[in-house]
Amino acid sequence: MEVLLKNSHFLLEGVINTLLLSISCLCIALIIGIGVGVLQMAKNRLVSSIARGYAELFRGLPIVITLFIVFFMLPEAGIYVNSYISAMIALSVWSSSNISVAVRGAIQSIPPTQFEAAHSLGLSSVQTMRYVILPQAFRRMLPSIIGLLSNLVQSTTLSVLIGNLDFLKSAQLVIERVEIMQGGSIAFQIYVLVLLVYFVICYPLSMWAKRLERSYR
Amino acid sequence: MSRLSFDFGYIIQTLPVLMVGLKMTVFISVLAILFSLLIGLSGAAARTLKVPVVSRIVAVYVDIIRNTPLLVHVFFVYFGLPIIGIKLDAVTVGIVTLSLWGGAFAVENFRGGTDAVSKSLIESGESLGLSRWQVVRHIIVPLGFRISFPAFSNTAVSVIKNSAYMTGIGVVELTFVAVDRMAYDFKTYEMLLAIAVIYLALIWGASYLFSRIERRLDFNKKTVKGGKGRGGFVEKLALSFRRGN
Repeated sequence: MEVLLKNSHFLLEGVINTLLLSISCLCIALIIGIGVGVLQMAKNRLVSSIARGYAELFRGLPIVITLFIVFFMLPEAGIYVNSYISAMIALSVWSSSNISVAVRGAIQSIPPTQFEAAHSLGLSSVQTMRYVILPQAFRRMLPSIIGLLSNLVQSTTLSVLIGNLDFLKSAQLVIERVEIMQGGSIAFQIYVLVLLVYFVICYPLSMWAKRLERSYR
Repeated sequence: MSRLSFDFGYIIQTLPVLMVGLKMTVFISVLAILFSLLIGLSGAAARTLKVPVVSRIVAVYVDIIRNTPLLVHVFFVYFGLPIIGIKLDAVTVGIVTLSLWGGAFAVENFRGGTDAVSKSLIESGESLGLSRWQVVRHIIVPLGFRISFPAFSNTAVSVIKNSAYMTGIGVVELTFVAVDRMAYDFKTYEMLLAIAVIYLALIWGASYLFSRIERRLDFNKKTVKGGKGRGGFVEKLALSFRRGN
C-alpha cells in the first residue's frame, strides 16, 4: 500500500500514456479507416482491390508482427522515431483496417435506393457519400467502433514489447524498483492492480458496445 | 537506406531456425484451441442451462478475460503467480493463458449459437415429450454448435495470432526466433518479410481449414438458417470484428 502511494504519480502517468496512445490511434484510424472503407466500394477495380488488400493484410497479420515491422523498418528506411510513435503507427494501421471493414459492411447495408435517390437529386458520388450514405452508415458501425476502442486499449499493452512507457511498463518498473531497493517482490499485487485498471477502462466500453448492438437489432 | 540489396539466400538459410519457431507456435496454438473449445462448450452449457453458481462464475470469468489485455494475463501468470508459490515454465504459461483467453471468447461464441436456436423449435421438442436433457442433446447442441462454429473459428484464428504475445516471456516461437535472428544478423527486411509471409500462410491456412469444417457442419443449411439472430447486419459486423485481435 505504501509502495502504491509512493508510486501513484508514476503509475498514473502510465495510465495517461496508455489513454493518450489509444485515443490518438482511434482518431487516426477513423480517418484512414473510413477512407479505405469507402475506397473498397470504388468502381475502379484496381483501387478497390488495393483497399481490400490493405484491410485483409493487416487484419491477417498478428498485431505484434505489424508492431515489429513498423519499429524495425522505419530506422532501416532512415526514419528515426521513438517507440511511442512506432506503436501509434502500427496500432493505427491495425485498427484502420478493422474500421474499414466495418465501414464497408455498413455502406453495403444501406439500401441501393438511397444511392439512386441521391443521384437523381443531382448529387455527385462524393456528395452522396458525404451527405447521404456516411451519416447513416456511421450509426450502424458505432457499436463495432466502440468495441474496437476497448480492443485497442488492450492492444496498446503490446507497445511494451518495443519499449514504450505505457501503464503496463510503468507497473513493471515499479515492481523492479521495489525488488532492487527493498527486496521481496510485489509482482502479484501490482499485476492485480493493472488488471483492475484495464478492466475499469474497458468494461464500460464493452457494455456500451453491447447495448448499442442490441438496440440496433 | 543502410542496405540496398535484398538477400533471399539469407531467408533460405534461416528457414530451418524459423521452422523450429513455427513448430512451437503451432504446438501452443493447437493445444490452446483445443482447450478453448472445451472451456467454451462447457462454459456455454453452464450459461445456457443456468447452472446455479457455475453460471455466475463463468459470466465473471468471461467479463474479466475479455476486458483485460492478454499480455497482462501472461505477465501476471508468469511473474505474479510465482510470488504466491505457483511456478510455471514459459511454454505452459503460454498454453494456459491462451486457452483461458480463447475459452472466454469461445463461451460467448457458443452461447450466441445456443441463443440463436429458435424458441419455437425448443418448445416443439418439449411438446413432443422430450426431456430437458433430450432437448439439449438433440436440438440445442447440434443446431447451436453449427450456428456458432464460424464465430468460434474466428476466435481460434485469433488464438494463433496471439501466440505471438508469448515473445514477451521468452517462449521460443516464431516471433521470438525472428527477433533473435535480427539482433544477430541485422537482416531486418528479410526476417520481417519471412515471418510476415509465414504468419499469413499459417493464418489463411487455418481459416481455410475452419471454413472446410464449417461447410461440413452445414450439410442441412436450411435448418440452420431457420435460427433467429443470425444473418442480421449487426451480428455479421460483430462477427467480423471478433476476428480483430
